[in-house]
Parts: sequence; C-alpha cells; structure tokens
Amino acid sequence: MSVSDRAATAAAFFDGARLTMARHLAGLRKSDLAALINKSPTAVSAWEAGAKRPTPSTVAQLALGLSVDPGFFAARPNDVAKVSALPHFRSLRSTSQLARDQAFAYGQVALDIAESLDRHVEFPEVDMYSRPVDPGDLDSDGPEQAARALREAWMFGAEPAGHLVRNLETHGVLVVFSPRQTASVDAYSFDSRLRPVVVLNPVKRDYYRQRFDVAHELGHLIMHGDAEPGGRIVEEQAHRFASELLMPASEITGLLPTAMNRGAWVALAKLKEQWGVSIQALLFRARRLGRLSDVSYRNAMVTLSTRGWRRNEPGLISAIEQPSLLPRAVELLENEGIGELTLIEQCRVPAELFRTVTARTPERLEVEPLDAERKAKESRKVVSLLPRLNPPVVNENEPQN
Amino acid sequence: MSERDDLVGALDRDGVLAGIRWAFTSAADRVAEDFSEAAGHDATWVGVTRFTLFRDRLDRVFSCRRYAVADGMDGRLSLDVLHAELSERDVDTFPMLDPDLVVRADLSGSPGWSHGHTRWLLASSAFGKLDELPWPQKSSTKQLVAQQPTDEPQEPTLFDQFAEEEASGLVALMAKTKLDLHTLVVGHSLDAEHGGRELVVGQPRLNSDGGSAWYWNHDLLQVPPLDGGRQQPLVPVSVAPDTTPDAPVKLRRPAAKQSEHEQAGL
Repeated sequence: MSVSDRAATAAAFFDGARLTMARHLAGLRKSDLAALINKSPTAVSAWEAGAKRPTPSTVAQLALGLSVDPGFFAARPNDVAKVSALPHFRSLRSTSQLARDQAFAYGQVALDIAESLDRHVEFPEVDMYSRPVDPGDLDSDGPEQAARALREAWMFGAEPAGHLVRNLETHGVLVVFSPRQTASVDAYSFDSRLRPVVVLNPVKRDYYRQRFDVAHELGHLIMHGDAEPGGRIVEEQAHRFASELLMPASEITGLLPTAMNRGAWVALAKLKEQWGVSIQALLFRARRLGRLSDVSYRNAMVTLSTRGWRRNEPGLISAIEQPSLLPRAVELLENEGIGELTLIEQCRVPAELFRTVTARTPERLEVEPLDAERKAKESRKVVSLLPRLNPPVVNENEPQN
Repeated sequence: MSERDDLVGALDRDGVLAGIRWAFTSAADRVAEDFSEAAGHDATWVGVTRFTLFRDRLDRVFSCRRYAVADGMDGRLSLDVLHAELSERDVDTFPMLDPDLVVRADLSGSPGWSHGHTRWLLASSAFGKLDELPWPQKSSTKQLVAQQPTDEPQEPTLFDQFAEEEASGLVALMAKTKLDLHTLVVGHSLDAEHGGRELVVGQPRLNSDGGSAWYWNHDLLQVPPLDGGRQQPLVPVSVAPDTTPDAPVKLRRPAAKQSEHEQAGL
C-alpha cells in the first residue's frame, strides 16, 4: 500500500488521541506542530479533540512531520490515554510539562504494544490489590501496613523481597525501560484499566537503588490510585512503603547497628547483599527505626560521602533487574515465525520505539550525543522519541521482498 | 601580568569560573522561582536559601562532599544523584569538569573550595552593595582574608613614608595573616523581587576606612558558559544479563494448531 493510500485509510479511522500521543512523543507543543505543517494551532487542537477530521493529505503531512507511519493515527480498540490514570512522577518541578507529557506518552506506547502483542500471547493476569492511603496523612502507619499486607499477599514471609521486577510482572504489571532521551525523568508509574505500568530510568545502573525505585513505584500503584500525583506527602508515603517492603521492621530492626564502628560497616555491607538495598537506605532505616541516633546517622552519611559512595556505593551485584514480559513475547513469536518487522507493522509504531519498549536492557548509551540529537537540542529542549531521517530498518532475520 | 590576571586567568582557563557561575545561576534561579512574599519569604529567607543552595551547587559541579566520587572515578557516574532536583536548564548547562579539579578547603568553619593554590570563600551582599561589603563587620575569618598581603598596587598610604626598619616590622606583622592558601572571596547578591543579580570573584580589602571592599574583583556573570552541554552518563555500554527466569508468557495458539499439538502429544 502506498503512503497516500495509507494516509487515506488512516484519515478514515483517524483518532485525535493518537495525534496527541505522537505530538507528545516528538516533544512538540501544538503550536510547534502547527508550524511544522503550515497549519494553525487551532486546527491541531480541533483534530486532537476530535472536533474536526484532517484530510488524507493533512494526515500524510502530519505523518511526515512527526516521522510516524500514517497508520499510527488510526484508532485502536483501546484508547490507552483514556484508560490510563495520571502518572506519578518524582519531581514535578525539575522536569517540564513537555518532558513529562513525552514520558507519559512513552508509557502509553508501551501499554499499546503490550495490547497489540496480547492477541498472540497470554501475559500474566493483573493480580494487584489496592490499599488506598490518605494522601494528606503523614502520621499514620498506612504505608507500612500496605507494605506488610503486600509482603503477606506475595508470600515473602520473613525473607528479602526477591526479584522485584519479576514479582511485579508475575502479578501483571508491565515494566519497561525508558529511552535515554527521557533519562532526566526518574522512574515513574501509572495505573490503567488494561494493566499497571512501571517505567524505569535507563541510566540508573545500580541494582540496589533501582530496586528501591521499583518498590517506590509499586507503593504508588497500591496506595495512590486516586491520589493527586507529585505531592511531597505522597512521595514520602511511597518511600516509607518501599522501606517496609524491602526492609521489614519486624525482621531487620534487630540486625541494624546501634553505633557506627568498623563492625557496623561490615554488618551493613552484609545486610546490603542479603536484603538487596543500599547502605544509604539501611542507614536511613536504622535512624527511622530508632537504632541510630541523628548524630550517628549524620556522621555515617559524611563518611559515606567522603568515600564517594553516594554516587558509587560498592556492592557485589552488578546486573540490574530487567523486565521480561515484552521481550519474552517477542522471542516466543519469533520462534513461531512471526518476525519483529511483522509485529512492528501490527503495532504501527516506529521500529526504534518498538525495540526500546521491548528490550530487556536499557538502550546502549553513547558517550557523546549523536549529531542529530545535538542539533535537535540546540533548537528544542525536549528531544523527539520519533525517528528523524533515519535509514529504513532492515531485519536480518526476515526475507526481503 | 598582575596578580589579578594570573589568578583569574588560571581559574578561567581550567573552567573553574564557569563552574562557579553555573552554581550561582542554578541557586539564584531556584531561589527566584521559590520566592513568594505572600508565603512570608523575606530578604533573610532569600539570603539563607541562596547561600545553602549556592554551597550545594558548588559541591555538585566540583564533585565535592555528598557529590564526591572515589579517587580515580569518572565524574559522570550516577548522574541521577548529581542532577537530582535540578531544572532542565541546569542539567543542559551543567559544565563537564574533572572531579579532581576543585576540592573543599573550608577555613575556620567557613565553606571554601580550592583549585591549585587558590581558595575562595563566599560572601553575600545586598544587591548593588557589593563594593561596600563591610568586612570589619563580617566574621573574623573574612576579616583575616581581607587582611591578606597582596601584590596589587595600592593607593598611597601614610606608611609609605616609614623608615625601612619600621616597614619591615609591618611586613612581619602582615605575614602573620598569611593563610595556608591564597584566599579570594566570591561575592554574590540577588534581588529576588526584581531579578537583579551580581557575582564577582576578587581580593577583599579590609575597608575599615570606609573605602572599597576590594583590591580588585572580576565580574563572573560576564564569563561565557562552557560549551559542555548535557553530560552523558558514564555507564557500561552493555548490561550484564539478568539470569532470573522470565515471568510466564504463553503463546495463544489458534484452535486448529492447538489441537495438532495436542494430537502430537505436545
């Protein structure tokens, strides 16, 4: 089918929400997109809201401008934007609305791809429970209770939490790495009527700190379904949930040091490996549980900083936890003769985006930005996640027609 | 070449001045963003917050204290820690500097940083009053710094007519105020309400006579930012494989194919 035919088909099934998603992925404001295709911002608003339908030639222009296939704009069985709850971003102030919109759109694309693959494979059923905690309450032990209830439901017993990402996936949560362009946005999560999604930061390559991130996001999913995201108390509650989930007070209190001497550091190093948490988190927990005085805690943190451990804490495990749901699905289907290009076509998303979403590991990181990326940066703050003038993707496993 | 040219030239060449400028801009931007008279903020809040954030940003950009990396490690480690709570603009303009370039060098409890043989402390001022900073009213540490001997030519004084032996006695007296490192002061001010800001580095002069607070100072807001751009994280290109078994994902087999498999005993 030619591009114009595809544009005509896409125009017939045009869904404004898909245009919004593509615009967000590209990191553009409505006025930016309007300027890109020589139309008015009002027209872009009308298409996105569904008040007007673009002509096939406009759809072709939009597709060209945004570097997506016209089919990207066609309606899906589920409008992932509509069925998704607001995402929980850590720090609303340090990232712009444009960057947050882009990150959220990426999470929605992941959900969209999972939905598309769901026709061929069965993912674990969503088996999460909700335990809302008052987002204005900083005094009660609601977060700790929620964490204890989850430990019981997931049968952790008195043991460390095990592979957290795999635990989430087994209970139906979709976990993906975000692309490197959005690395400034920390890990985030959102619930949806399809399945909850956790998006991991691709540059945080510390096994222990990444686990805390995952536990924090799990806390949001369980406690904050209805809470306004981004508030200080809500974030504090998610931290307390993560602490109790990873370092249950009933098990760890007696193991934490009460004074900082050489023996204490050795003990902390052992606890770190046993419970899969950083020494910084253990020290914070020791203070919170009343084992360490404020002075001892502060002194310990100064020692830790001096050794450069805040940025590079020594630990035995170097492989971060990695997601498996989508990569496993792609591998299974490839074994059945359904190649990656076929899946990309069915999902109607750019190939690079598909590969980032379905990867087991974060994208390879270059030491220096690519030329194209650098040039894009000079003109705009948020770098597009959609390909621009990239050579066509060739799948070596697929026969070429 | 004057002492001023030597000192400023060395700091500028190695990117230290650009680091100080970035740190101040980041701190001042955050203060200006958070400032709210309606919330009860006043000049004291602006001063204390600016000092706290400026000190934090200097530690970040020079990888000191809580942002330190172990000896020999790359400054691009764990950028999520280094960039926490920074604005996108801060991150985009964060200068890429060697973590060993600058070390903390506090002086009698006053936060200080040093590069080579030069240290600097911080001194805040009311906006527009940097030239009148009253060192005699500042801490004894700042007064000591303002009494350091300098090679800069001074205004003629009464002492110029002293006999040689008297002059040498004065030199001996001055030597007592010599610090372990040549110490400069970074003076800064911010008018949060109207957006005015000043940032200089210079040699303070003990202005008991009510004269200028500086032998010389150099305007750092005129320093062009380093062309560093966003730092790229230093991480292994490949990630070690996760050997934990995958979560259960099953193929949905078409009914016909399913029954074939069943008949075949699969």
